[in-house]
Amino acid sequence: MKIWLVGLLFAWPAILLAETPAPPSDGITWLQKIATAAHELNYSGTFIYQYGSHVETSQIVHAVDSTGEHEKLEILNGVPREIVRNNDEVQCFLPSTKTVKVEKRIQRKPFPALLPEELNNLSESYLIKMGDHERIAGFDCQTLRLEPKDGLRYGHRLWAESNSGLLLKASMLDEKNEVVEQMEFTQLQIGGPIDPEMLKPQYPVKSAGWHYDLSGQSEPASTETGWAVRNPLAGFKKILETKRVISGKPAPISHIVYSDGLAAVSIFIEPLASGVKPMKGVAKRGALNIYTTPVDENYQVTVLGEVPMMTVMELGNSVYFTGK
Amino acid sequence: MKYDLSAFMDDELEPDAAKAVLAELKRNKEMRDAWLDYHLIGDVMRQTGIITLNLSEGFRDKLALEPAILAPRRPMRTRTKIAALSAAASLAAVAAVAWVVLQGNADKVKEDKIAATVQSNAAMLASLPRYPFNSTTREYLLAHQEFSPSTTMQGVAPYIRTVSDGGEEANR
Repeated sequence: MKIWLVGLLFAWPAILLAETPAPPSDGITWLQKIATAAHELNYSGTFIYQYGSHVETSQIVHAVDSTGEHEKLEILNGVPREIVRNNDEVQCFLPSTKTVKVEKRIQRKPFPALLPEELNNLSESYLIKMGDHERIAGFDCQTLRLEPKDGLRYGHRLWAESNSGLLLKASMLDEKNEVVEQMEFTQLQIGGPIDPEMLKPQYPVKSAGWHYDLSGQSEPASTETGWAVRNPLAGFKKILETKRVISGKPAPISHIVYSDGLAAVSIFIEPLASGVKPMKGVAKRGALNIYTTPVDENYQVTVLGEVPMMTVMELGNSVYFTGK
Repeated sequence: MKYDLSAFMDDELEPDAAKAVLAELKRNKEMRDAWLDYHLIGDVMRQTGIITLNLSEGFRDKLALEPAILAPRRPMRTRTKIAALSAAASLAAVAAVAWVVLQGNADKVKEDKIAATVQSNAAMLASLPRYPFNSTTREYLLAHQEFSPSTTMQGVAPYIRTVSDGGEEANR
């Protein structure tokens, strides 16, 4: 441990000198290009989602027409699952329980959704560096590195198709530069018409046994919840505070979201029914870390996001009731 | 109470709360150890060149017993890592702090507070139970995903996190 620490102290300046940060405009321009491409292009392909030793393969289709954006994600291995998005509505088809979960976006932002203030926010927390060109799924890609300026967030590596800007590969790295999660296209077609049949859910949801779970709705975005964070984290800004109904929960849940422009952290505060024992614990999957802890005796806080465990714990331990 | 201790060091506590911290410092050895640890971390972060090495007896003893390892070590297995986390918490916190400082971000963060919480959180993490993703977790994930910038940059692809059937991982 001691040797590692000393090594770290000496290695960092060398690492910092090895790559010169690109003029911010280059990296920012690419990020805007990526965000625009994701919403304006027709594309279809196969991509893999990977963390630890877990790998899942999915088929993805995205089409834009006069009625807006339509997307379908179908998981190809394991239990069948599908996600269909039509503009601001996301439907999750879970055939194992014959359930369709419906989530309506409440804060629809005009795309491209990387707004200037978010991009400024982002360069506060990350060093943006342009990298070499690399080939992904047969396409030439521009690589980008977003190195965190502190230990509160993961690093990101992005591979964007050189012409269109479509993101073909994205990985998140921890403080040891080890990949915690990765998504990568293995086969892809960009542009051209998309057969509308490819965007339809394959499950006969109107047949017997299937049910819609419409609980993913929330109140207007400006709702004050009465909850706040004692020690806001550097670089993270509050982007949402609302109350929402969650399936299986009798009372509305307070939902507060913080973002640094590249990663988001959600705080959920749930009132505990009398007699329900509060829970304390953590869960981790890929880049997602979750921390649950009781607060004020009758409430339970769950913090989750694509950030290190210490970040969700820090936020969770800092939640308090403002008394409003 | 450790939050209060950190706030007390920053002179941010109300007089009554400060009195409570002082009383607790007199009474509680753990608090006195934390007081010394927080100052060490503060020294490292401020790069004062003066490091409070007058640490608690326990720490000094452990340091004296620590062998100097000169050969590269094979990576520890995850289970061992978790067990070792608690013991390694102090050094890990200092490493995290050093890392923050070397990133040139020291003036932007509330240094002492972050260092102190990284340390206490690392120690707490080692003792926390792991729970599997349940139906509530998935509901929360679905609600969260809309606001994740990854959705802006990748469209529906990151929603795979909300329906993935992969298992949970041990903490690293």
